[in-house]
Amino acid sequence: MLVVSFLAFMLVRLAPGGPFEQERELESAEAKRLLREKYLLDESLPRQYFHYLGQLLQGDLGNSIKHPNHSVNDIIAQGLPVSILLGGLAFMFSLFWGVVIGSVSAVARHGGVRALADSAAMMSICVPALVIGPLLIMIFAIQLRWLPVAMLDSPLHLILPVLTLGIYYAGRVGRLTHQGVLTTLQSEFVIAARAKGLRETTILIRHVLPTGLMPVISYSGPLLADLLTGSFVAENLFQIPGIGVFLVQSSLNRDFPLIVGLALVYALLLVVLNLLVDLSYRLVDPRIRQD
Amino acid sequence: MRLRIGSLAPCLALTVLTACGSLTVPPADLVIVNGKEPESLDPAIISGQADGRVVSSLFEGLTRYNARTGNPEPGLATEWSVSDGGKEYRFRIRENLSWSDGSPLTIQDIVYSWRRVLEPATVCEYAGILYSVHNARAYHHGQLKDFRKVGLRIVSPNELVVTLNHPTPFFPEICAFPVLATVPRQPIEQHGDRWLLQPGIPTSGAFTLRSWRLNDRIRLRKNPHYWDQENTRSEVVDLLPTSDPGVALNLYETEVVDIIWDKELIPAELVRTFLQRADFHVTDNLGVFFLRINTTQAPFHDRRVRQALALAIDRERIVNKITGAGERSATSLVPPGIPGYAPPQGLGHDPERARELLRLAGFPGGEGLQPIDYLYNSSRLNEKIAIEIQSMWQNQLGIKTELRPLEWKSYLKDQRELRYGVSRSSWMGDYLDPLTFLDVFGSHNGNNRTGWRNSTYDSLLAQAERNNDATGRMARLRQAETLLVSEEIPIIPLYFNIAMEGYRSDRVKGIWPNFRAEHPVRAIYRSEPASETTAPTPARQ
Repeated sequence: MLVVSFLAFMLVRLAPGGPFEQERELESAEAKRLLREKYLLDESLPRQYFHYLGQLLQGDLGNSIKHPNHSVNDIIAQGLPVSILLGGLAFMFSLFWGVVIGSVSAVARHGGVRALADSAAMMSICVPALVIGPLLIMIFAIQLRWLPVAMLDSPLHLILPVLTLGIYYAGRVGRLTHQGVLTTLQSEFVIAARAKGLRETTILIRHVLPTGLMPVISYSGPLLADLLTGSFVAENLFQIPGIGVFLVQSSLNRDFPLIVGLALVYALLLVVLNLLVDLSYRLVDPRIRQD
Repeated sequence: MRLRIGSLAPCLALTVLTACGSLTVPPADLVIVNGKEPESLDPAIISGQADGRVVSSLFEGLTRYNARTGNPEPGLATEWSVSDGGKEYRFRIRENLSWSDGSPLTIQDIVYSWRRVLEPATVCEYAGILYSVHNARAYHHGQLKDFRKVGLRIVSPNELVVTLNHPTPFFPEICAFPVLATVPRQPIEQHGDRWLLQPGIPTSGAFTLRSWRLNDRIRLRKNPHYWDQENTRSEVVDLLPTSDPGVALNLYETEVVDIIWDKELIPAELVRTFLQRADFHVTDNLGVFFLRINTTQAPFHDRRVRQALALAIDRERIVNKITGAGERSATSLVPPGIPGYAPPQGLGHDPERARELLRLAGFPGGEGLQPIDYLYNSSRLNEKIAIEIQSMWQNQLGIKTELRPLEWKSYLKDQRELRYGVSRSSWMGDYLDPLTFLDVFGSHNGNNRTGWRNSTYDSLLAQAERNNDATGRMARLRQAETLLVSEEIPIIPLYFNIAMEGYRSDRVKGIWPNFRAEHPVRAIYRSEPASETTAPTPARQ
């Protein structure tokens, strides 16, 4: 985390233009001086960084420069729960749907069903959210008027953003599941289970999936981190007040404290979720439990 | 005990359901797409029109904008008189004014708010608007420490006298500018920058701030203690910070929102389509799109080259072919329509004369000229205009142009540091007077950004400021503008902006077109029932 905070802090200052670059020039040199003083921008970079670390140790991520009425803590506290809700739902959707289409494409005997599941997975990967989102809006919100077009005013408002965000990842999970299940199906313990006369469904659910899903579980850590820290595209398309939009805007605005704060949140989530993934191997894979 | 994944599912589902349950937001009486997210709702810190519209709804100054005309009318002051040849304004403050929490609003609060604007530590971008007040500039620059020497004097609990440096006929309009609205001292001093996030902050305007969630909405609720509360037409108003045209139009077309009032939110490709519709209203406004020329750089230090560039541009083609929303081509900086002022006819389209001037400057047919570095901030509209001008200069003058798009902050930095040849620019006036435009190109104005310094121009502006006679004042300003757009050409005006607002007149009442594009939220309301041809959307449940 220290490395992330250091890198983020230093890198953002390499971008041309500063946070106070405005169309209207501040007329008072005294005001300009006080503004730079307020954000310690006239101090040396190491001093600024150590000051920032001191604040960070007290849980204070500093003040946003672009949104001076909000601290970075305020912005993250407002946006992160929304991003977590949206990302969490998209995560569940992509895992469920990905595992279903991945398993079907791996075990289906009927060529048509297999082709359908394969194409569903491939389509999901190939068509970006930037296309899927507007398409879903056009069909379900504007033409059919079944679902709201944007904003986050009720649980119903979550359906289209969750689909927009989750479909791509469902495709990825589907491909991983497909490969994992196919490989596991050739294992000796599966042959042994078949020899014992177990039903194919039982073999798939109780023996193949727990092992075949290992690649999916490894992938789910970074996937969840990606989804929970918000998506610029989905949040922007549906005007969802998460933190994904800030990840892009803060860089464009040279809002140094906000960029570093968001980088830290992202890094923290990534570390924690990868740790959880490592722990979850024990829950799923009987071979690791036995070790 | 072994933990099973299956046992986590109900917990997860319960968490999600609880989170979803807390999402439901009660509908507002009026919903407006307000443009980009306001940087601040603190009057002294606002930086754009989107911020200003919200701030004007929450806080009020001595005057306020009339909903029909956009002209200043009594706000916290009931009346004012002018004396000393236009240099002294005496404002009578309303009796029994209250903050939204019922506590008394006093004349000291008004003075505190103005002082706060001028304090260097507040870092108010618009503090210059008060420079006509005696000693305000010195105080804002930190040269004067004693605020008592600034031209503000409380003469009685209901009377404020403002002393100006020179006659300022538009001063009542300045008093309506949202930056000078009255703010509550106690929460500001207690909570610092975060005062606006405190629940129940007292406001002086027609509404209170119910909630403010970034990238979601600003919810306003009617202020029951506002002096004119019986004319506040909507109880709860949502202002949505939407900068994506797709989202804004989707929300509007599905009737989730009642009003879109930012032309930036109409995609350029669709402008002509929307112009055909009865619910899209176009009015002239106080903005101009122009090019800055870096006069410190060769060959632009030669004004004949600058004149040639201006004369080679066919502005009609730009407004007809590219912008297409009814913008008027511009040969002056100040938009026509300011009472008492007729802008000069600057350099129009005359390629023949342009070529002749270029020849006289020593560059016949563009020979010997380096390609022009044309700087602009990346946007589709700016790019189209740049390509069109590039082609005009190439075809008419034989000059090559290299286009250099940059993202906003980098563009501003290069413009400020004069690292460009020609740069796309625009300016919005703050008040209905030519000075709001002409002042920008004074030699010492930080917004000049062309490197052009002209003592005659400065002197004409100074003479206009000192002039007591309205006609004489305008004549001086016109002379200054003639110098700017007909002779010296540090800038090339291209077109005057328009305001484009979307609302169904049968459904939304209380908006009147005016030159300032000022539409106070207090006057706007939805007149039910909504159109029966459209199915209700979930957001309106």
